[in-house]
Amino acid sequence: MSRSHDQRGSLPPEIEGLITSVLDHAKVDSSARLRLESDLRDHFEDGLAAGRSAASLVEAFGPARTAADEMARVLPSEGEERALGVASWRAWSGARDRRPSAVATLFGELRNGARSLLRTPRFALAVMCTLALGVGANAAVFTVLEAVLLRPLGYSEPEKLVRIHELVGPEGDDYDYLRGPTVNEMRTWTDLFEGVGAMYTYRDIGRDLTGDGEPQRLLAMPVSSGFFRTLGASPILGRVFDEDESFGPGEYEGGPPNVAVISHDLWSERFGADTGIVGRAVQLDGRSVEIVGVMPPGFTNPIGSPADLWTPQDMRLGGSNHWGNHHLTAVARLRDDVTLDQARARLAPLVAGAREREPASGEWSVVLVPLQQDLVGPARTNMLWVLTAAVALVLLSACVNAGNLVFARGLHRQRELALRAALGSARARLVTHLAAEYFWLALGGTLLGLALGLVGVSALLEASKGVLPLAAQPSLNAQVFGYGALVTLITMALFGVAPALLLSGVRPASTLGSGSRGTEPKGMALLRSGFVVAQAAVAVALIAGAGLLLRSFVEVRSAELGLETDRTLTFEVHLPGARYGEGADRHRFHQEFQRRVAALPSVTSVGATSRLPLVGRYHVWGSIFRLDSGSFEYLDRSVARSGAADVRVVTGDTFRALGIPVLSGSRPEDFREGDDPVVWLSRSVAEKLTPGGAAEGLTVGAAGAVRRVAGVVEDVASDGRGTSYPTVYVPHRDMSEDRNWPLTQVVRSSLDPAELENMIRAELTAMDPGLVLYRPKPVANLLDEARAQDRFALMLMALFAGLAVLLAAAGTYGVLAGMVARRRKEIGIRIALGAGRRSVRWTVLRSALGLTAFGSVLGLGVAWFGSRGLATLLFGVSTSTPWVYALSALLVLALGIVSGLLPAQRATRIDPAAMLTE
Amino acid sequence: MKLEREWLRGAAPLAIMTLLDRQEMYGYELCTALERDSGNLLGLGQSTVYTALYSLESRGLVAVTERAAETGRRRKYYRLTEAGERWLETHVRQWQLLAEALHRLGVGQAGPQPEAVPT
Repeated sequence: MSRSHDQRGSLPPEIEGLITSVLDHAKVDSSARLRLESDLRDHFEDGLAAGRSAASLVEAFGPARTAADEMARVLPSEGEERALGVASWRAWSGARDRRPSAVATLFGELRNGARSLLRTPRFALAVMCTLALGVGANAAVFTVLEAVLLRPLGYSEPEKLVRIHELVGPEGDDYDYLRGPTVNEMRTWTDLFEGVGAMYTYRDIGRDLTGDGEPQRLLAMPVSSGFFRTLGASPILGRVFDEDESFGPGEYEGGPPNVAVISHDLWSERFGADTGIVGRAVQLDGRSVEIVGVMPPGFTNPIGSPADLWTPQDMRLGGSNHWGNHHLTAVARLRDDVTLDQARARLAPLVAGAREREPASGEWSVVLVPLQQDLVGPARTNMLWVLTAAVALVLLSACVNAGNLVFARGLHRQRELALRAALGSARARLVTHLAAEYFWLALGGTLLGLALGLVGVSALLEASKGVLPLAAQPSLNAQVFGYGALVTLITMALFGVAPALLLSGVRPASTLGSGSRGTEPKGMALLRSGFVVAQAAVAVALIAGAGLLLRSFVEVRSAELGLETDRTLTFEVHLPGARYGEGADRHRFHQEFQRRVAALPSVTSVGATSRLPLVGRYHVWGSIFRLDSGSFEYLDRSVARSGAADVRVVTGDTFRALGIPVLSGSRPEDFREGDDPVVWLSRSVAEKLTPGGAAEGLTVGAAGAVRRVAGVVEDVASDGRGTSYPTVYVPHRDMSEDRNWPLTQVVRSSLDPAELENMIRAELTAMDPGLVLYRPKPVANLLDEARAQDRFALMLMALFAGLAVLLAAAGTYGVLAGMVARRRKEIGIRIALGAGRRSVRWTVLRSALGLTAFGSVLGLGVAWFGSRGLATLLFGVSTSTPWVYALSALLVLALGIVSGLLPAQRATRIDPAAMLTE
Repeated sequence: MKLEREWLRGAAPLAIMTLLDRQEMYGYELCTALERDSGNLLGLGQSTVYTALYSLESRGLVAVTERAAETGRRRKYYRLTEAGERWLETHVRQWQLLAEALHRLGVGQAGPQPEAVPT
């Protein structure tokens, strides 16, 4: 662009008048106007220089109004002109209206913006990468949030599905599993439910499939005949169970009828998707079972593990289905004309009626929880929302940083913008001009961010194993992309349009009247300071959150577990009923197997248990009584839910193998065949039975028999946080005839687990080549899995805090560096007047400290507010732990100083002599 | 006598392109050249020169380069593009055809001679 009029001498009045008149009449955009004015001035200056009079030049030019009309019609537009600069104006084809259309202008601006960015690739890349960080983290977290909380479950009309819990006892406050008769009762509540489906609660029922090909261990789920219909699922082949297969006629017989529905995976992998599978008999645990149906792909149990096959649960009354046995999990589908609230309201009279008819059922009530809510649970829901809020803060910080970069660059363009404004470019036009450029930055940042999000999602999935419910499979879908679009809009609004509005508000007179370097309007300086404050606040809040979670995780790690987790390998050996039909056979096998394993080098102890610690409650069974003056007495409900304790069936040296301290009494290995039935109590059970006294020798009723207390062992954690429940341990010797217990073997050894596993497998094969060493896993891994959620929340929060710190450091540095650059002259003068380096350095650092301090205070407020959401995730630490907050603020203050050091150093190096002659 | 504006508008592009074909020029130089080389015929309505230049530029027939002249002043120099050269060739030919056609009609020749009247 040629020199503009502010730098030229003025022309004679008649020429100025002509130029003004032409410009006034030519209704063209600001860029074309600039060009026209420049050409006219060149023309008349050349004419005057050639010695012609102003009057003759004006006359030779022709009438102003006609000239303006004609010129305006053909002048190149702004988009065209700015694109490549004066040196290579490119023509556009065809005639145009006097004003380019809005669409043409927009496209022109967009093209123009893209070219402008291509000329400054480093700037563009820096902004896009910053945005991508924020958008990517958001996309990844949202993908998980969407899959777990927002996406409906994969069943038809999932909003009508509810989980049914029972509350038992006069002050029942803990959900209980359902009893067979309760489910039978609910089947009659057809005014509320379209269907009720029950599943056997003690899931993970392993069954051995034998016959054609390799023996295969399968997971089977016994379900009532209403199960599939309630979930709205139909088989793709054959049928599901009919009413009779679950509900009778007749009385409870125990073993399921010999039919099974198989999963799509099993059908395609084991049976080669054979369409003639229905009616075929297979061998399950040595029993012939007829396959009656195949479920569609993706169909899975709403609760528990995915099943390979389903068998009918015997729901007939009698046997296990009595009012004392809570062993079922149920899901119901509400009728279309019944809302959840209506259903809840109508429950009370129905339950009251049932209790009146069946006094033996005791005091109980029923609770309905929407299935999705039940699956995710309040802690996970809370965690996901907290993480979403945290990641939104990261995005805010990223937007602020990007805005900061944009401003820094915008300052260099102030003169250009001021000139445009002076020449009559409307503010809206200036905003469009700037926003077009930012549009590309936001779009690029978002696309890059979504790509980053894809990587992030797979990393998150890897990290979230065992944390997210079974039915949730995070994937990118329309909702996630919709969210991406929303984030883009927010991003653009935050850092695109806002800076454009501000930068476009330049005042021509002050800007053009200033020196060659762009100066920062006061509002803008304030805003950039605000950026630093906001970023510091976000960093403090996230560091405090991460700090609380870290503190909590340290507590979790030091929680008393009541066992030793190192150097212990666990695995299952399932004994098929066909070959090990008698309890005595099974017990003999376990004894011989454990003897062989114990003889292996480096093995110090071997045992087996029906359920490992750390993997949740299981088998809450039977009531504990104390034989006192010939009468039994219930345990206090605060100790044992429903007067019951978790039952563990053990054999061998289990306590030593798991490192569970035996506090008093004898060990299982001290007992022989033929001794009276015995039981070991966990410490909390013993303390409740005989406060302050010795429990050994007492006679109690536990796990279905009267037993003598042989010893007391330490309470053992059932989760990663050290939560323990009353537990009793009964020897397999006494229980082997009760059922074919799926025992988990526990082997303590200093050997490498893989090596140990191979040696044990060799022993197993030597004993019985048909047996499988199933699910080998060190106890340490169990612990890792048990702490997965705590670790997951901490890891993500720490990652976000780290990002926030990086962004805040970059932002603070950018603002201070800009400040030093703008105040070079002032600083130079101060140095010339004798200001010491130290005082100059302090000036810069003071700004850094002031801004981050203000931000820290704000951040503490945000952290305080946000910590309430964090409370349910914390363990052993209060949300108001003062030192966590103090440390976060100190960290960010230190960060402010570190970020300010470089600009401060630069300020002290300003050479006053060079500065003043500039 | 001066040309009427309508005539000027029609002829100006061809005249400008012809001049620019000889050498690149800046705006005022072009106006002066037209004035001088056309016997002051195009002296009126110099704005038309710029209108024509903008139009030619829009259509990609001329290109503009800004650089310093010998005097040190920065000026915008116009020159023909390749498309401009082809355009000029075609239009010169068309002008010749038009001129020939008009000439054949007798336009521009001396008017009909009065019949000699015997005296």
